[in-house]
Amino acid sequence: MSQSEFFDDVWGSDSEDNNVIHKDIDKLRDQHSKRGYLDGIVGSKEVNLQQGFDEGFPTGAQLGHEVGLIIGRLQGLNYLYGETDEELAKSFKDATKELKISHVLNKHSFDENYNLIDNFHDLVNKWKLITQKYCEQYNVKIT
Amino acid sequence: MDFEENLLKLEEHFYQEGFEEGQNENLHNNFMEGKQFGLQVGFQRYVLLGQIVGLCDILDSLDLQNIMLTKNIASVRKLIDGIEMNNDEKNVEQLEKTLVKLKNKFRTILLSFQRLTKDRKLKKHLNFDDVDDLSRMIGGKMQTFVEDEDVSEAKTTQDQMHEW
Repeated sequence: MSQSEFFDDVWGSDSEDNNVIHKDIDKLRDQHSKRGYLDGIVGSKEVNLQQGFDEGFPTGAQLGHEVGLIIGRLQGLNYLYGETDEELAKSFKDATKELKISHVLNKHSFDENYNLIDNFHDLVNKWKLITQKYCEQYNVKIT
Repeated sequence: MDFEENLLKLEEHFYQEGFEEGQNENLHNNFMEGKQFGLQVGFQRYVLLGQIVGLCDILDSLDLQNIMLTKNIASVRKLIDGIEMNNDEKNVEQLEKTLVKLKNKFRTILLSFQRLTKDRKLKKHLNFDDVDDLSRMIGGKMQTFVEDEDVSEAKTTQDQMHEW
């Protein structure tokens, strides 16, 4: 049964009554549709945020792991050889500044959908190469 | 069907209409907001794991000829290898459990290392707190994505930190 059929059935159908009915329907629509709209915004926000979160998480994890590897290797090397190798000590200090989260998760490395551009991160790659050089120098096997 | 029943159906219909409209509103923006936050939390959770592997690489390179140390390092590597990098409920739970074991094992590794290298006259001991502090400094507190290169004046796309 359509809305008008329903109201015709209940209230009859002469035009004066119809105007009142339509006003009532508009009021009803306004009231319930607004409530639904608000619930829809609040409810879906959580779902959409969670879906986005799950999509971003693995890339963040991968970058965090790579940065951690670099920092751990440089920290270990600096601990062992930093007192006699000034360049190494400086590199370690620079890496701890440059590889902070705020520099790695920077918009310049991502496209508008927060995907890594060409699946490559310039800054992380730069430090991977620097660390690789020190690992070769101090005979550290890395895979 | 009586009048009240019909009225209720109509109210539900209007509610649903509004709900769907609200659901589609900001869908993309909310998704992107969540994605930024996922990148951040993923990064923060895995820095320490990578750092531990990196330090194990250095310890292995010293070839200290100690069976327990070698065994513990292998065990730490195995634990970390077994962690998947996604936010599935099971993995998050597993990660929490593994982290406790991992931290304890790595503490033991660092203590053995100190003992084995006490004759080397190295500067102060490398202890777990040094490792953990550095990891926290790298993963830091960051609200969300940084828009500007100049971090001191960084503008973020979101003002508040969400609790997940």
